[in-house]
Amino acid sequence: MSFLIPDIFVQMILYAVLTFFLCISLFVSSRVIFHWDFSNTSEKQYLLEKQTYLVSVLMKYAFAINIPAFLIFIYSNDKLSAYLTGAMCAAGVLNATVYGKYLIIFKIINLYLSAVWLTVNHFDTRLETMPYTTVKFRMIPMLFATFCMEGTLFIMHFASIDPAVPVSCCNVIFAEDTSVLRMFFSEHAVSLFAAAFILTSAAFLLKRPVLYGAANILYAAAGIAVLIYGVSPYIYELPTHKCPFCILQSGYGYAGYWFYIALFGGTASGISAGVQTCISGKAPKRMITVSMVCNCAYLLLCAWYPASYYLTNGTWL
Amino acid sequence: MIKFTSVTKKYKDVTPLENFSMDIAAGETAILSGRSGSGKTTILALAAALTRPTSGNIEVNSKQTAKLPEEFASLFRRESVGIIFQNYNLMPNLTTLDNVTLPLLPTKIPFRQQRERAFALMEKLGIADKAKTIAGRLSGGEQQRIAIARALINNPPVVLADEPTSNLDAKLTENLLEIFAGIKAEGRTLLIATHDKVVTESGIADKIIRTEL
Repeated sequence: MSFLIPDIFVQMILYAVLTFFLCISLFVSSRVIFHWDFSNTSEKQYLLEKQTYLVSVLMKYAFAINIPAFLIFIYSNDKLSAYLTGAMCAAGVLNATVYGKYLIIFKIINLYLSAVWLTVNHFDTRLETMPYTTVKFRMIPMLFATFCMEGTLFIMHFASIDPAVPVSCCNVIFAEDTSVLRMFFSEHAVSLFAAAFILTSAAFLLKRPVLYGAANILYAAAGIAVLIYGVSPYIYELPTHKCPFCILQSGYGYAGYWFYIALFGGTASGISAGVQTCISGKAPKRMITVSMVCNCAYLLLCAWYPASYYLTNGTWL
Repeated sequence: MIKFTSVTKKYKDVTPLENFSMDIAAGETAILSGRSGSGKTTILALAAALTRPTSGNIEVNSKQTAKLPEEFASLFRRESVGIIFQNYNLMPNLTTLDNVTLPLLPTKIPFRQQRERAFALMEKLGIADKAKTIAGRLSGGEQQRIAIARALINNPPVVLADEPTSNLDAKLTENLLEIFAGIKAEGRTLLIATHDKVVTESGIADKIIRTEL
């Protein structure tokens, strides 16, 4: 498939810019890791401080752009489904090559890593002594590796798509009996989600920020599972249609975007708050509150569709 | 109060300051004396955290300013330093009152209190009757006094003045020295960069620092 399709081309440019920024950051991070000493007043240290400031600004914007870029990625995949035989939504496009599945996994991982880095950067720049500079620059090599992996998978995925070859639709991809893991998730999605919500709420009420961060990882996974297997059939009003991508289409009022924004907003800030507490020993209370509000909003969104379906039709799917 | 330790400042091709050290105690008045290009303005800019040194340590009002990130540097300037620029740097289209109260805009001081404080200062400096006049229409001496009022409005413990007499005649220079004597009497630390002999020989300074390389 051609890289000159506007949606893909835009993302290629984003990858190029991000890679360029990451290369600069990687170079500076290697110097920070080995030579950073804030108490030093030498020319070398001052130069390093200037460079870290520049890199922090570059990466802040690069990672901040990466978050809406994920939505562009999903939206463009959804649009491309019109050109692939058999595809009904982004799921079909992502399943068109062996790389698609890993690409979306890396994208999600990078999305959360970006959020964590932005949080550490935010707290670092709020303090005069820049105490977390080494921590955030130690994260750069890992981010560089995962972003390079994502970029490579992106190129390989879109280079390998053959529009002439029919692909599976989401109904086949998210069928319950295709793997043991899927069977487990489909059967226990609601219970898992309930358990994850109880755990996050308990950690929130008991003021355990590290546990809250960890609970949010579980909440993110359980949240996706419950959306696919528990909630989406009520949005589609079809018990056999279980797909996390079709809900992003206009036919369903773009409802999926609200689900994903609430889930990502809640879990990313929750995980970031946990990491921040581990690093600084001080819990970012406002961030945890925002996270809990988003998590509650996600829960309400998930409850809304089945409840309104039941109230209208008097039956569960 | 103002302490420079082995400070070097390099620009691309020029090094106006190399391994420079000085120590000015709280409440002291010091004069930076030296020919043009000897780094006087650079020292003031460094003391005000308007620029960062290439190396060395700077401590102003018990704060290590050399490493301050920009957000903290502006906060430091607002709270600790009053600057009288060589060319005054006034807003020529604003009135005297607006120019004087300008540094108070980001603070949470009520508007009425801002005006009271500004009028008290303008009264002291003899420009209260020009409060509603556009600053650009005033004479050099009056503009200078607006610049001084603006520098003092935040009640800073440190006042920096860059070539304050360069645009003034002998009479206005004398007036200015009286104003500086008043600032000194208030217990503020005053650092004046000048190459004007009238100022250096006026006896206002507790310390004269030569900046010749």
